[in-house]
Amino acid sequence: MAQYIVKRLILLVFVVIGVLVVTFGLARAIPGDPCTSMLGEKATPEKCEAFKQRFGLNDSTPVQFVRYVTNIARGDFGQSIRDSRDVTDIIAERLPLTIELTITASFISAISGVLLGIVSSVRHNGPVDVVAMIFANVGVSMPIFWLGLLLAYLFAITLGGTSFQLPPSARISPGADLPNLLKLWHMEDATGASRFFTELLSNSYLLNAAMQGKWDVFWDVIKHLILPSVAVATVSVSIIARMTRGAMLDVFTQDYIRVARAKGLGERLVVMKHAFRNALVPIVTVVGLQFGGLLSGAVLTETTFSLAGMGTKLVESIEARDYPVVQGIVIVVSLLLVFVNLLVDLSYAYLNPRIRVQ
Amino acid sequence: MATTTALPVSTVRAPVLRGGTTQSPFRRTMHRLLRHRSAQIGIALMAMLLFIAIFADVLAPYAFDEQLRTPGTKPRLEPCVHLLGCEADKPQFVMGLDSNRRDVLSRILFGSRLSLSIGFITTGVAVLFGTVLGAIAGYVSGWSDTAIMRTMDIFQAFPSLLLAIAIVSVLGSGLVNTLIAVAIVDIPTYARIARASVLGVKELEYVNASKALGASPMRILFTRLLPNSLTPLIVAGTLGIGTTILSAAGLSFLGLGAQPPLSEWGLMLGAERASVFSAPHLMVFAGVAIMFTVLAFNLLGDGLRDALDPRRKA
Repeated sequence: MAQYIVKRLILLVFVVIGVLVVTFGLARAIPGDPCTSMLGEKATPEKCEAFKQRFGLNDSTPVQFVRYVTNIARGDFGQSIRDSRDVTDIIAERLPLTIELTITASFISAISGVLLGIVSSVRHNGPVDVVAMIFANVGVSMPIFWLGLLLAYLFAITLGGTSFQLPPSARISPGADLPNLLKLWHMEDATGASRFFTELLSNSYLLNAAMQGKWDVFWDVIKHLILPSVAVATVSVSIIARMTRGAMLDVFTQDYIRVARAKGLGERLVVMKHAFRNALVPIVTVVGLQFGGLLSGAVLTETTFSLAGMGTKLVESIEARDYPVVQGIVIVVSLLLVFVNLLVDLSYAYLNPRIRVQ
Repeated sequence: MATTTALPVSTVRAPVLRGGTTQSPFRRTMHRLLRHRSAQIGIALMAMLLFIAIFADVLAPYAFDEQLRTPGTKPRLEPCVHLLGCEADKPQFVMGLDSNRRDVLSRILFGSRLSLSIGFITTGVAVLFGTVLGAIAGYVSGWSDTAIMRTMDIFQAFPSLLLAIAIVSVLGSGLVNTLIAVAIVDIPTYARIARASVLGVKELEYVNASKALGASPMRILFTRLLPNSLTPLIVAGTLGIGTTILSAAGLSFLGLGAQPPLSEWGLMLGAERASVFSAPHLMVFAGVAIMFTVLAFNLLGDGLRDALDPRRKA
């Protein structure tokens, strides 16, 4: 296992460098002079010279790349051109929502996808199976931003006034009392990593509310998260359900299942203990692989539900040609995915010894 | 030999008549495909879409960008179908009008052209580049394999939509740039599949025979290896068209893809997003159109996978 982890970490370093090269290359590939394309009408020769000096654009490309990597390693993603804020601050403000959305969607998709798949496989070719598989086919084909709009209409308008009513936008009800942790902990003057992580924690409304013991606010945040998470999860639910069904059906043909039944074990025990446990490796694989898709989904869904996360900021920044922010968001989200994939890989190796040997 | 001649004639001929072993692989696949339930639905949907796309000019009551100013029209006018009880003195608009007084039905019909072209062109380009890169990696091996596949790894390390958005941010918003971005993002998937298939066939005897006969590496690659490793690419490509249409619609929804007044379905949803509560009819049809188009390719892809896999029953 140790050897596998080392091998995987070496690969990780390689991929991280690759991601940085691609993002660096993309920023340099913007057509035209970076100064005029970033400053727009405000660009004068003097301003451009100052701009190039400030961003070190007169240096050679390798020098620029090394500086770029060093800055990122120090957590410095530069400043927003639009409002001169540090990109790191913007990320601390926006990232928690995207992560909350992705994690909630992961839970929803893993649990409901696996359950749906198991039920389908047990009732193979029965009406439940047919309905579940139609749902899976439609779910995979549905644009999630559209599903989000439909859910918002259904739960805010059609079911408005009933106990099923759910908010169609925003993260938290207006006026909800959830103080910033920096203020609460008297850390307004903090800088660097401690400020960044406190801000992250503070902007993760679920964690923040739980830490302050404000359970009414916690429930309010959950209510706001339900619709977007369901929208983000739909595609993954479908994929996981199909995969689980397939893996279970494969296992059901094995001799040990016949033996289990022959020796008189109850069907529940056969399905959950004998079949499901053995079908778990492909299921965990596909659940892990969904994370990237869910992150992409979160980026789209934030726009549908007007949520202030990384996705909405990314789109705003592209429209404003605020490249440092675009670059910061792309790097952070991609590195997040790279690390999650590492964890997923290590957990397979733990579950399935054959992978370690390969 | 004796056993074969002893068999009754009907048993020998039966498989031939039902499309057994003597059929060409293409006909056998088509035969299986047409008997596959998902594929049947997929093909029917696809035929309908192609019909709509080809005859959009004839079917659509108005041009996709025509703003209607006739009496009785107003922005976001609700659907009115006389047959379904809408008053006869009101003008008939099956799917209503959008915020710019354009006929939604006409826009949906013309939109099928855009979405199908996006799907076919983008996936075509991605499959082409992916196949060439993957085939070279698989056939040549060594450092070029490592270089190509590790680059593909890096591209796959990004969340797909995010990479597409990043590329669009460099190229600038617009339909063509979106197509390029989505194609680039899809290349690694096909490269990986092509490499795996080429590796699967490259040590087979007929390839060695070609080598022994002195065929050039290019000839072996393009006439021996690629034609025999196309099956998984065809399946992945068909399924990929659906995904591509979804990604392009997503980018247009965000305002980064097709630009107004084009009648791209994702753009139509994005542009009318604010009217979801006041004019819900504007949210329905474009979404349904995207869903059915993607569903058509997914069902056909599933059917193709089953039909092309000799281990599966038709």
